[in-house]
Amino acid sequence: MPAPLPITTSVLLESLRNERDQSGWTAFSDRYWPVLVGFGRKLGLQESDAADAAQWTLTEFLRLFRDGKYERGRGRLSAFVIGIARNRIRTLLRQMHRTPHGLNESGPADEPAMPDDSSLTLIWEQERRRAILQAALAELRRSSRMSPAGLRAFELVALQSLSPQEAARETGISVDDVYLARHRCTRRLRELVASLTEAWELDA
Amino acid sequence: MTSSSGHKQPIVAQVPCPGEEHLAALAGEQHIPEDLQQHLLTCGRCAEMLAELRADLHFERDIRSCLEPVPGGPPPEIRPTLPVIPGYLVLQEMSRGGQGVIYRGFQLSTRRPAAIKLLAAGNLATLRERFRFEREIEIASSLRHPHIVTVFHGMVLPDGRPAYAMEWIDGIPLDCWIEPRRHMREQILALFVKLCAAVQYAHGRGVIHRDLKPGNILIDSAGEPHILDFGLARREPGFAGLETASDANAPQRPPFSLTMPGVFAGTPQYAAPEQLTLSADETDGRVDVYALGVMLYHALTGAWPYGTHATIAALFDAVCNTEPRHPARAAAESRLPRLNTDLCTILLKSLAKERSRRYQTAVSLARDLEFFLKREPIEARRDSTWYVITKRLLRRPRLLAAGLAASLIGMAGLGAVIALSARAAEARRGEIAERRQREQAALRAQAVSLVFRELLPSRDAGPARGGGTDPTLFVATQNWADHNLAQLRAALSGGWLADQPELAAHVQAVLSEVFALRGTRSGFLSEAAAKEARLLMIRAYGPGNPLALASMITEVGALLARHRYVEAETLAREVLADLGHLTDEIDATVTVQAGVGLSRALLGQQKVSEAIFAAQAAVARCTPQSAGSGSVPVLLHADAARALAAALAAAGRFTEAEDVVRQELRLRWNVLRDTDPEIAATLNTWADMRSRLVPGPPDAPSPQTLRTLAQALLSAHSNQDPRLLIQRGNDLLQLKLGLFGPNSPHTALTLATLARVSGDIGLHLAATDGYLAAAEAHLRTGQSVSGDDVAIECFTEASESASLIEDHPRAVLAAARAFDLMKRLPRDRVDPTMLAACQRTLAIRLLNAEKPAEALPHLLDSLRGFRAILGDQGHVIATTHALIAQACFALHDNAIALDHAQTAFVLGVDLESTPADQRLGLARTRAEIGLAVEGPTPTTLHAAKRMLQILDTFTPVELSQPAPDHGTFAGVAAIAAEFPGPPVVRLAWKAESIRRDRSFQLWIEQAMRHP
Repeated sequence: MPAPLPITTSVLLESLRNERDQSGWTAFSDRYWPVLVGFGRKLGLQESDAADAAQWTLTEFLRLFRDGKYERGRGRLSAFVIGIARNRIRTLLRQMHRTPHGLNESGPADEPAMPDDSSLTLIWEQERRRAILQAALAELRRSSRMSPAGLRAFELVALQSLSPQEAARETGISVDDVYLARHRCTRRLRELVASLTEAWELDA
Repeated sequence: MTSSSGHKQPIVAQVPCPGEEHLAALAGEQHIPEDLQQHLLTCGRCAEMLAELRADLHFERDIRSCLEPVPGGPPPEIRPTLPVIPGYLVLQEMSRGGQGVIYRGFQLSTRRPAAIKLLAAGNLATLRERFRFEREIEIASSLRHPHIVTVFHGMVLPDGRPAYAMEWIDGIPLDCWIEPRRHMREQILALFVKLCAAVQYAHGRGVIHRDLKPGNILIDSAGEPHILDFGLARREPGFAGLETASDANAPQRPPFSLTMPGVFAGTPQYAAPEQLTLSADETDGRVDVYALGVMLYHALTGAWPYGTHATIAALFDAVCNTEPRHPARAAAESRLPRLNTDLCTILLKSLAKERSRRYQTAVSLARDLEFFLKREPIEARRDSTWYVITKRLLRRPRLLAAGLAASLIGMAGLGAVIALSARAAEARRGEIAERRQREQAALRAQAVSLVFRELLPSRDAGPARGGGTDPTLFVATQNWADHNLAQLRAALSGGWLADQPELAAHVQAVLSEVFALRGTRSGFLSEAAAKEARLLMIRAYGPGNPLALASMITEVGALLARHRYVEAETLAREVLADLGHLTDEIDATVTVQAGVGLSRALLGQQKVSEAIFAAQAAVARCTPQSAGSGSVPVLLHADAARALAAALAAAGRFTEAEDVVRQELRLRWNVLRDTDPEIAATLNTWADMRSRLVPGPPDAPSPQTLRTLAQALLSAHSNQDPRLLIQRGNDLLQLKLGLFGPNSPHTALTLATLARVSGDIGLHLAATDGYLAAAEAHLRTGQSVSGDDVAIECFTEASESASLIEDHPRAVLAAARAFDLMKRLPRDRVDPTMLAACQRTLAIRLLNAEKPAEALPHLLDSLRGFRAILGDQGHVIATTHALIAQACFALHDNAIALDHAQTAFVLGVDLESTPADQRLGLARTRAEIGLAVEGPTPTTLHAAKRMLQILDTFTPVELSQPAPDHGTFAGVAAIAAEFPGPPVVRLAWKAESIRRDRSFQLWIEQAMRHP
């Protein structure tokens, strides 16, 4: 069964304008949630704080977007979202440093250092890529017509670096079948990643 | 190889297709066994599968690294694998240098073997390295020569790394090829002639290789050389700014120098002295001539010109300061056959330290090699004894301190004296006289060297040995040099060498020049020495002798530099009076020199009217029809005009002065480049004149315009901003129009250059206008031979530019003019293929202008023309058929259209020589016309599928340089829409993914939802 066509960022943004359309908001936050959480974690937040920063960033973005503060033609969406997220993350890091745990022997810790803009963009891109891969893997697992053993063999070889022989032993299928499963799944996964990246690309 | 039974076996045994498991294992390997490589070259299925498996492997690694948990995670995989290059299968890594890695592989679609070069540092490359690599791609792609490796195309890998594919040369490096042939000198020389031609070709396009060495020259099995690796190549500024900017692929100039200041780039053994001492921007093509010289030296003698050195520093020192070992001696030591004197001369001239004494071009080196091969006299002459002795003298630190050496090295005086002697000898004509002259010069040189040897070592050379940059020491050195020179002068004045007046005269002349070069501080010494020299010359050679007159002119110059106008006037008048029994040419030259000096001397005394008279006489003497028909160098004529302008301006006759300055500028422009400082100086003088003329004529350039232009021309090499170039170019054009009129080659050339720069930055309207004007200007010059050729070129460019902005009427008009002109050229000057191509271009423009009925006869004519030369095969014939099909289709002649479209498709789409974009065009024409004429038949679907394959195989750059052709992709999508089934979706999606057009995206989304 072919995967449904990924929704483009433009369509997502359009649906955000409609306050009654909850599905648009859900799809938007589903897309950016893992990226924002990963982004916060990379910048030094704990899991819960990263989730807090992601939630705050998404709602703040929605508010600003509906107020007309963001226009597609004037800049990249990612840069806009990074700007919001950075401020929130900096606040949270500052709070974290002010807590008793954040005190070192010589007194309060220094102002948390934030990477420069290009480094932030790089981190964002890494997280975006990771989110796309995760989504593609999820879609592969959901929609693949490959047998569970074949799918498992693919994951063992491609994701966990086992040899085809080891994967064959583990899953009980022949080495030839492992090769076949691996090839088919990798090809499918590449297609999924390509189409997701394509749909996300307008955000780049 | 023979088997035990005696039957001959094929060198490579046929290997059956390996299983998928085997291929999958190979995908992760660095090296593919030779037998399998052969198999992959012949088995497309296996090659494509291996490429896909390798891409899978890279993708999996990518996933793993991307999905690693945030902190830590398993260590990254470091086992290297062969890279995945879209459209190619990489077989093995061939070499890895500082800059790039070269892989051997082949193109999957065409099976042609290829070498693929990637930036070694990959994604870790610095911006400078990336720019350098992109420049290498740009430079190498711009060269098409049988002895320069052909670059297929540049590309950017999916991971962002730049790369390029080039032809695979199955050959061996030059030194390996030479080793077994060292005794076959003629074969080696013939090979070097070819190499020189290739290097000259590159130089002609402004490209200096800068790293020529045996490792960068491969000799194929047919014995043909191929130059590769343009990693350190540089394009000369004039070319970078104008000529090559037309290449849309040219990388944008980085905001920094690609060569680190003070950092040597190249290979020390082959580096010319100036490569080690000057910045990259100051070197030119002569560094490649030097490298060719080193390679030839090593090839013929089996030794290095400077022996071997333990350290790089020692080698650098030898390259800069030691003379190369005599080739004959080096060859003898290597037990090679005796080296002919002429060959030695060629080698030594190629390796001259002063580049002005080297072969000035690779082609002049090639010419001498050819002369030698044909047993004809070579053009190069050995350095004269005078030169050799002087040079040795200058290189002896005990004899000459740094300060003195600095003065002497730049000593134009020696050159001037020798040149004048040489010119006198030429005037006498006849070989015997010339030989005597040379012998005398050699004797004199020897004598002068003895003088220096006698005098200079007797002084305390202590400070001289210090050298360095200590200013105190520098002053001390200068003083020491002054002191010794003064001692020498005193010795001469005291009667030393009194019995050898000829020798003493030359020593004084040399001293005068040395002092003149040391600036105003030594002006009086220069004057005194010049005076002594003059007196001695007259005594030695008699009054009126060219040498005596030359020394008098030198003295006039020295006097003028010291504002001693009265004496200068007297002396200049003496020169004029002494003239009379010289040959016409020298007579005229010296007359003008003296006249210019006299005018300046008179002007210095405010004798303005007389100064004008003297300068007018000098100018009049420069005109060819004047009395005494000897010709005067153009620049001397310009100097005379300059003197006259100055005198007229001093008299307040600015209008006349301005006319003379314009004449001076015309003269200088006839021989100097736009960027020569003398042009700028004349423009500034003109600006001064103009500022005094209030009000000036309305069409005259303003002083400010002239000054800005002078400044811009002086800094033209550093100014790469095309818009500024256009602005200044327009000023320059107006100026040249005023000076030379609209019918001059100068004006036409500037117009064409402007048009080219406009086109380069996308101002196609301006480019069209410019090219049309340039073409008309060239036609008006009346130079029927060269003018017509250039006009055809300009009309063709104009048509191209107009076509780019869809100004079809003018595109047609320009193409028609080009074709008309070409038709009228004499038969022996027209290449029939070019004529057919020109006619076909006209037809294409007519098609674009929706005039198929007019286009069709031209297309049929051009097809006949091509067939007569090329036969019935080939992509040119195929594409012409496709164009005929389009014209017929537009005229609703469907059956014939389909017939031609099918012929075009069959002839050209699978032909290796058909460029990628033309293949796409052939498939598209067949598919579109087929769809319209006969509906979705299997043949039409086949054509549409070929479009997809072509889109899949080739990079966008190969398909349509450089921007994607929206029409093509829209066409693919439209055709796709007519065919049901999954390939349709993929076809449409592929088209869309390349085009990225949002409106189409919606259409495709619908297509995918309702397949």
